[in-house]
Amino acid sequence: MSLVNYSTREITCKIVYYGPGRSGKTTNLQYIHTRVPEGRRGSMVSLATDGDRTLFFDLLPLDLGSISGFQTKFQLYTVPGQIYYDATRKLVLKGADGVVFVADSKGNRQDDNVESFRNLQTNLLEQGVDPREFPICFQYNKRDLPDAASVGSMDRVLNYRVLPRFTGTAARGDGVFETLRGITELVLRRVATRIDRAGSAVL
Amino acid sequence: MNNMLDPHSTFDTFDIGPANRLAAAAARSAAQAPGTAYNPLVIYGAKGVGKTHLLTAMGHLARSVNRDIEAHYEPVDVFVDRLTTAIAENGVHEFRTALSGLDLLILDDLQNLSGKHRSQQELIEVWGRLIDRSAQIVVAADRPPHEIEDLDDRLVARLEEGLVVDLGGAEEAEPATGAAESDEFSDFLSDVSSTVAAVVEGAPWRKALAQAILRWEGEGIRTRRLESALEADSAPDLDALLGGFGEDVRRLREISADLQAVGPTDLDPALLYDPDRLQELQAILDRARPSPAPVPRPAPRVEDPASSPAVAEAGLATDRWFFRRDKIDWAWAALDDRLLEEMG
Repeated sequence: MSLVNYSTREITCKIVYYGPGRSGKTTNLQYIHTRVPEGRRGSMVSLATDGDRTLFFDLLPLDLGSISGFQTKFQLYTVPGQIYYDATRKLVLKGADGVVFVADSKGNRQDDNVESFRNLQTNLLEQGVDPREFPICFQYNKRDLPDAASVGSMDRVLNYRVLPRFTGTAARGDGVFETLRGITELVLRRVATRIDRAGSAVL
Repeated sequence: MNNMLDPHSTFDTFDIGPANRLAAAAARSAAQAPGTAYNPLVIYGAKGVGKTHLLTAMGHLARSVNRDIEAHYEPVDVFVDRLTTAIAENGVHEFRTALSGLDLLILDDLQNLSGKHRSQQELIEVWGRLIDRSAQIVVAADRPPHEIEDLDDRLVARLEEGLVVDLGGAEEAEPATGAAESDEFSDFLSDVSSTVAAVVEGAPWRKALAQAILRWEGEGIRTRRLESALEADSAPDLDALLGGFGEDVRRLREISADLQAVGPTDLDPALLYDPDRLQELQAILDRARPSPAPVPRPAPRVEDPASSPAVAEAGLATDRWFFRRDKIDWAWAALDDRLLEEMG
């Protein structure tokens, strides 16, 4: 997938919300869906199981209109968090420009967070993507829970690379747009850095 | 004070625009110093413009200014219910006394008092006591008091003794939740726009190349070669690329003119606009010429493969121009592209 297409003057950004089951990935997309004006978003495609958990993926297309002469479009995806849907996760992850890892702050779910984050890195590596170079940011969701793990302890087990990290309660909308802004910045800045590096060698 | 009030509905979260500026200012002023100005304060406006938000914000502000203030908010329906209960329980006196002791009474949805004569009577009774004590009364309705049907004239007169202010139409002043929605997205869009601008305008060679593509496309020329360079991660030798492309376009036009001179040919018109297929066009021109006149030879070049004995021996030197090193390179590149396109 071409992130910035200078020929067609389009920017297409695929962002995948990853994380363990029931961590709030779909809730993030649902909140964004309610806050984006109708003309700027497509229908949210959501395939859920009988238990209301994501079966395949959710997709929310956003059309940000023309920015600096480029038609700018975002595609926000979620993956199913349950362990047995790994093939689907790989499929959705393909071609992603950035990942938001939605971690569940609930105290007893820290092992699930770690396992899912390892799974993310494995799947990126399988696709020839170096997780250390790939735009990833964290959202520690459900901060309103009384038994939420401390941010510091979650940092220690998940964010050892000191990636951008946001806290929030997606069900209330807290931290949702901050996270989206964070990953967008990360993805676009990575493109800028790459261009600068390539350009400075010649110019 | 009613503890069920939404704690997020404050003046800080109230979106102020031209349509509701006066109402918001009056509400803030009345909340900061109850009973001293705009008393009573009547705020009216259509459903969804933020009346309840503003009333709630007043309650929060009044409480933050004076923790001991006796403030009470309730929708008129609740007022009517409580009065009905009080009547049934023989507690009207207590009902009046409790209300009369307030420093700030906030009533919402006054239009629901229409036709409820006993409740109107009680409100008029309490009203006088509150005003006598310089207590603040704030009322909200979906229309001005005099437009509410079946409302006691005495009550209408009291309501209009103070400031009656329009909160504006829904299209002019969104309720606080709507404002928050649009603000969140607007802020996001603004930030993304800045970043995108920095990205797409951060590499001058891309801008120059993109402009060249637009220019040539405007003249109908196919720009696949330039587009490929634009998509690359690294900058090309821009002068060489654009210079070579311009030279090919010039040659393309020369051949096109020659072809027109020799007469109609069975020609794919796309060839006339594709510098990457220059060789094909040249070959068509050679075939279309009536006499086997020698093809114009380009100026001799260093290491011209066409001048090599091997090429001459193989009988391939009929089109020396075709064998120019740079043209051979481009020809192969173009062939690759065509194959890829066709395979597709």
